[in-house]
Amino acid sequence: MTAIPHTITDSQVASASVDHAATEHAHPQISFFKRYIFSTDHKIIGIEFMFVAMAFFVLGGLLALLVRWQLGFPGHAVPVLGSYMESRGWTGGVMPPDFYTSAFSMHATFMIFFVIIPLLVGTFGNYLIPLKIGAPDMAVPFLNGFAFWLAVPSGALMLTSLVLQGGASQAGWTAYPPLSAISLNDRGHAEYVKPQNAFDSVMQRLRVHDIGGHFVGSLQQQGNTVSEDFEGESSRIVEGIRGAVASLDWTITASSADRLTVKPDEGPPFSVQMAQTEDGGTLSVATNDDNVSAARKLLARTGTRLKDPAIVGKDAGKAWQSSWNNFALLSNFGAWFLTFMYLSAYVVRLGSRSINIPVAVIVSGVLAYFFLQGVQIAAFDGQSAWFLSIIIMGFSSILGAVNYLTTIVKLRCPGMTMFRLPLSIWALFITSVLVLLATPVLAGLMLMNLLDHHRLTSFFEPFNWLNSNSLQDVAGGGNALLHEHLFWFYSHPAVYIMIVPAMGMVSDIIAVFARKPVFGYRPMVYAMAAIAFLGFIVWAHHMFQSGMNPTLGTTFAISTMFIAVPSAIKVFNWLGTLWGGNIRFTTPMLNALAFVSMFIIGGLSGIFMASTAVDVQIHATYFIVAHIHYVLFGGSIFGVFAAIYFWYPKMFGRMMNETLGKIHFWLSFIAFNCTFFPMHFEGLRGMPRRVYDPHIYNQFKDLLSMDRFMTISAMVLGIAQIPFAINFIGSWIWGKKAPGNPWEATTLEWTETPSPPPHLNFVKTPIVHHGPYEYNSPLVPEDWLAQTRFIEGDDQFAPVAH
Amino acid sequence: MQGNGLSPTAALRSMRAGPSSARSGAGTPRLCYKLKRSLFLVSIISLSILITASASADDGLDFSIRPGWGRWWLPRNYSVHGKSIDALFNAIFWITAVVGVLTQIALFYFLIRYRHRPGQKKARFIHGNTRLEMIWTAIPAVILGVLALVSKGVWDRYRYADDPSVAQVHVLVIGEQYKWNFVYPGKDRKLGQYLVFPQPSDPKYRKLPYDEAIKRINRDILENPLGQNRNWENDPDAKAGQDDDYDPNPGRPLILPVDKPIAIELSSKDVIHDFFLPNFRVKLDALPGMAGRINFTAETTAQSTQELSIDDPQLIGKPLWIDADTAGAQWQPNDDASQVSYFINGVDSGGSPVPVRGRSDAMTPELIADLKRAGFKRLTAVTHPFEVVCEELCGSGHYSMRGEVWFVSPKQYDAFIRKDAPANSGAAPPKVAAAVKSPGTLSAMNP
Repeated sequence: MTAIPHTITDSQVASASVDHAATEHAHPQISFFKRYIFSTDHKIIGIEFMFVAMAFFVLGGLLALLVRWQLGFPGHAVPVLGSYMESRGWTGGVMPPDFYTSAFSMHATFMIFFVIIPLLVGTFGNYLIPLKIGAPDMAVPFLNGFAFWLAVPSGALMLTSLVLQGGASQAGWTAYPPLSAISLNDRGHAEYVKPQNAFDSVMQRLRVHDIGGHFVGSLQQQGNTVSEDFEGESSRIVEGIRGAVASLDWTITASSADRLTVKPDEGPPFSVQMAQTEDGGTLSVATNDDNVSAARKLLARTGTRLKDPAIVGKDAGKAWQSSWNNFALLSNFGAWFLTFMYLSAYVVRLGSRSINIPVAVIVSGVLAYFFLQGVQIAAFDGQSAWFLSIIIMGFSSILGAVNYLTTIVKLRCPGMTMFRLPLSIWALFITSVLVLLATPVLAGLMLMNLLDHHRLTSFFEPFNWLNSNSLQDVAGGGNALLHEHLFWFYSHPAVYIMIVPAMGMVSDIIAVFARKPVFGYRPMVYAMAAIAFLGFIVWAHHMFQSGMNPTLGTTFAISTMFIAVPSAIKVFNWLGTLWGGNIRFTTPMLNALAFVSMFIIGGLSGIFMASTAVDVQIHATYFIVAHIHYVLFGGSIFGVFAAIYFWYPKMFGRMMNETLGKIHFWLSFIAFNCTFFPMHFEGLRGMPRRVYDPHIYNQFKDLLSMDRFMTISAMVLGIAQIPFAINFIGSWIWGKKAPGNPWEATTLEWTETPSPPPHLNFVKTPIVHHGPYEYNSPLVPEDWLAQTRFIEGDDQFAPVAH
Repeated sequence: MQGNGLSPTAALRSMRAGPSSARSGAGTPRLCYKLKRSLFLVSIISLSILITASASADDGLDFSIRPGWGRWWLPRNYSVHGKSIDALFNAIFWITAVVGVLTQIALFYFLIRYRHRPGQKKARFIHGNTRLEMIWTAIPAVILGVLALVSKGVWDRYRYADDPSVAQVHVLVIGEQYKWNFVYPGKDRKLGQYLVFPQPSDPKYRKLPYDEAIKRINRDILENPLGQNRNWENDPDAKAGQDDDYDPNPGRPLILPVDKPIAIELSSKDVIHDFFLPNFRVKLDALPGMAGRINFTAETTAQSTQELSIDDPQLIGKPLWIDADTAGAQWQPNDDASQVSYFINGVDSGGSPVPVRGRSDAMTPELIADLKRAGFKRLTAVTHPFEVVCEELCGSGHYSMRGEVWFVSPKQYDAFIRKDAPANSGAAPPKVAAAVKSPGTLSAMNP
C-alpha cells in the first residue's frame, strides 16, 4: 500500500471549486498583461517558451542553410543575402570564411540553447507536468515565470552578439579557449559620435561611453582655454558674463567690446574673449591651470543658449563609446525592462493599479538601464556577449529545474504514485536532475571564459601565449584542457537533457496510438535513470584525441560503451510496445516512429565514437556531425514535432490538419535522411567539420557532388517546414474545435480537463486509480481506461502490478 | 466523469466503430500505403541518381582512396597500427549494421503487421516481460564490454607505442594560425627546445618601460617565430637545437621515412589545432602549452616518391625529388636566401647550366625536356603526397591549414637529414649563409 500524498487539502479543493470556476473569467481582476504576458500560469509560460524557441528555430535553420550553401556551392554568390552583403564587403556576393565560421557557431548555439532545451524542457516541461500529475500549477509559479523571463534577455543578448562590432562568435558552440579568448574587436570601444538628433541622444544615454572623464555638456577645454559656443549677439553675451560675474561676487578688472578680464575671489585674474566665428560665436576663457574650474564655473553661469554642444575635454583622443548599435541597445533594454516588469508585477503592491503600474514602469526602467550598462561593459564583442548570454540562460534553466523537481515530488494528486507517472513526467523529472547538477558548471565555466576574454584572468591560456605572433598580456599558467573538461562535464549531460524528455514523450505517444501499455514501464524508468547517472561519467569521450592521458580515455570509453545499454533497452521496449498493438498512423505517431527509427541509427553510430581507437579516425569529422544530427534532429526534433502534433489540441483547443501534417512529416523525414546520411561517408573519409572549404584538400575534392546533394536536400528540408508553419498558425485560427480527449488517451490532461485547460487546470482534484497506459484493458470494453476511472472491485490505491 | 462529455453508450459505439476512421483522415490504410509506396519509390530513384552520379572514380587519388565504392569508405591505411584500427572498425560496423538492420526490419514489420485494420483484433494487454528485459540488457552489455576491452588494446598500442629503446625519427610539429611548422633535427638527430618566448621580466627587457618591452619582444619573436632556445653555450638541452632545420616559409612539406618508428612532438603557438593524417589513422590535438606525442610507423607502400623513366607522362605536374645520388646534380644557393636552386650537371645546347627549382613546384614539360637534354634518364618524383588536415577549429582560416607530407625511403630520409650534397657532383657543397638554415637537398625545395 503506497502512501497517498495528500498535498491538496480539502479546504483548498473546496475553495478551488468556489473561487475558480472552470472558465477563463475566474480572475476578472487580473489584467491582460498579468494573464497573458507576465503570467505565472505554467501553460502560458510553456507556450511563451514555444514561441521564442520557434523563432530561434527559424533563425538557426536559416544559418544551417547558409552553411550548407557554402559547402555545396563554394564560390557561388549566396542567394538574396549575397547581393545585400556585396555592398558590405562580400566580393561577388560570396560568403567569406569568418561569416561561415560564425554561421555554424551560431547555428549550433541557437539550436542547442534556444531551441531544443527551451522546447523540450521549457515548453513541454512547463505545460505537461502539472497537468499530468493532477496539480493546479507548479510549486512556485512566480519562479517559473521568472525562469522564462530570464531566457528573454539571454536570447536578446545572443541575437545582439550577431551585430556587435567584430561579428558573432567564431569559436564554435564549444567555445574552446584560447581561440575564444581572442577578441576580434578592439575592446568594444568605438569612436565617440556626437548625437545628431533627439533619437541619437536617447541612444547615447543608453550607451556606455566616456568623453575623457571631464565633463559632459557644452563646455570644451583645450589646453588652458575653456570655451563655449553660443548663439546670439555678443552684447547680450557680454551682459550675461557681467551678470554671472556679479552673481559670483567676482570683479571685472578690465573690459572692452569683446574682452573682459575677470578676477575671481581665489586665484589670479583671467581673460574672457569673445570671438565671432562663422557659425555663431565662441566664448573663450584663457586661464592658467589654477583657474580652469573658475573659468568653467563662469561659463556655466553665462546663461548663453547652448549651440550644438561639442565634445570633449583634455583627453579628446580617448573619447569612446561602446560598440553597441541602436538595435542592440533597444532590444536588450526592452528585454531587461520586460523581465523587471514581470518581477514588479508581483512584487510591487503599493495599492491600486494606478499606483502599482507607474511605479513598476519606473523601477523596471531604472533597473533595466543599470543592467544594460553592466551588460554592455561585460559583453563588448560577440564572443563575450555569447558567454554572458549562456550564463543568464543557465540561471533560467536551473530555476526551471528546481520548480519541476519540487512539483513532481510534492504536488502529485491522490493516487498518483511515482510509478503511476506517465513516462514523459519521469523523463522530465530525470532531466531536471541533470539540469540541476550540470548547468551550474556551465555557468561557472562561462564566467571563467568571460574573464579570460576580458584578459583579467588566464584560466585557460598558457605561459608565453601568443596571438598573431604577439605576446599577450596575461599571466598565463592556465590549461586549455581545463575548459574542455568543464565544458563537456555540462555538455554531455546536456545532450541527455535534449533527448530524454523526447524519449518520454515518444513513449506516451506510442502507447496512445498503438493502444497498448508501454512494454516494460519500470525498465524504461530505470533505463532513463541509468542514462542520467552514466551521463555524468562519460564526458571525456569528447576529448579522446585532446592530448589528455590515454588511460583516462580508456576509462571513459568503458563508461561510454555501457551508456549504450540503457538506450538499447529503451529501443527494444518501444519495439515491444508496438508488437501486438493496434497501430494508428496519425501524424504524432508517424513522428514518434521516426524518432525510434532515427534514434536507432544515431545511437549505433555513437558506438563507433565510443571506441577510442576508431575515434582516432572519425573525431571532428563529418561522421560526428552525422551522429549529432541523427540524434538531435532525427531524435529530439522529430520528438518535438510528435509532441506538438499530439498536444496542440490540448494547448490551443483546435485540431491540426492531418493532411498538412503528413506532408510535413514525409517531406521532412526523406529530406532529413538525404541530408544527413551521406555525412557518415564524408566523415569516414576524414573530411573535417567546421571548415569553410574542405575542397582545398585534394583528397576531399571528389566529395563536392555529395555536398551538393546534401545542400539541395537541406533546402528541401527547410521548405518542408512551411506546411508545418501553415498548419500551426492556420489551425489556431480556423482549426476544428478540439474535444477534451480527441486521442482517447488515458492520462489526466486528456480525461480531466477541457481543451484548452482553464486556469488552475482542474475543477476538482483528480484521484488516480491506475497506471497511465491502460489501453485495451480487460477491465472495460473500450480500448482505453482513464487513470482516474474507478472500476468497482478494483482496489483503488493498489499499485498496478508490473 | 471522463471529461469529454460523451455518454458511456455513445463512447462505446464510437470505440467499436474504430476511432481511426473518425480521426485519422488521410491515415486510412490504403491511402497510407499509396503514400508510403510512392515516397519510397521517389527516394529509391533519387538515391540511385546520387549513387550513379558519384560512383565515378577520381584518378588522382587512387593511392589515397580505395577504388570504386571506396570513395564512400575509410581511406586506404598505410600505417602499422592502423590495421588493427581498421579491423576494429570493421567489427563494430558489422555488429552495428546487423543490429541496426534487424531492429529497423522489426520496426517496419511490426508497423505493417500490427497496423489498425477493420476487424483487427484487440491489442495485447501486456506490461512487459522481465526475462526478455534481462536478455536484451545482458547481451548488448556483454558485446559492448568486449568492444571496450578490444578498443583498449588497440588504443594502447597506438598511444603507448613510445619505445625509447628503438631508434625513432623525431620531428617537431608546431601548429600556428594558419600553417604548420615542421622542425627537423640536424645531424645529431636531436631536437632543441622550442616555444620559449621572451617575457618582459627577462634581463634583456626588464629595464624598458612595459609597452616598449612588449614592442621589442614582438619584434624579436618575428625573428625567432618558434621561440627556439638559442642559449647554446650555457644550456645543454638547447644545444641540440643548434643544427635544427626549420624554414619559416609556409608550405614546406613534412618529410618522413617509411618503415621506421616516427615520433612527432606536437604543440601549438597560439590556439588549439589538430594534426590529422587520414591515411595513417593518426590524430592528436595540438594544445598551446602542452607537449603532445604521436608515435607511428608508415608501411613501405606509403612511399610518396617514385623513380620513373624521364619519358613517363606521370612526371608532369609532380614535384621533383633530388636524391643524393641523382647523377650529376650540383647545387648552390642563389641570391634569394630562401630559395636554393639546382644546377644540374649538364648543360643545355647553349652551354649554360640547367637550373631546376625544386619543392612543390610542379615539373613542367619544358623542365623535363631540359633535364632530358642534360642527360638524365630517370627522375624521382613525388607522385603520392599525403595531406595534413587541421581537424580542430582554430579560427576563420582553419580551412586553409593544409600541410603536405612526403614519405620517403629511409635512405632518402637519411640523406635529407644529413644534408648531403648530391653525390657525383664533383664539387663540395658551398658554404651557405646563416640565414639559409636548411641547405639540404629538400629544403631546397622551398620557395
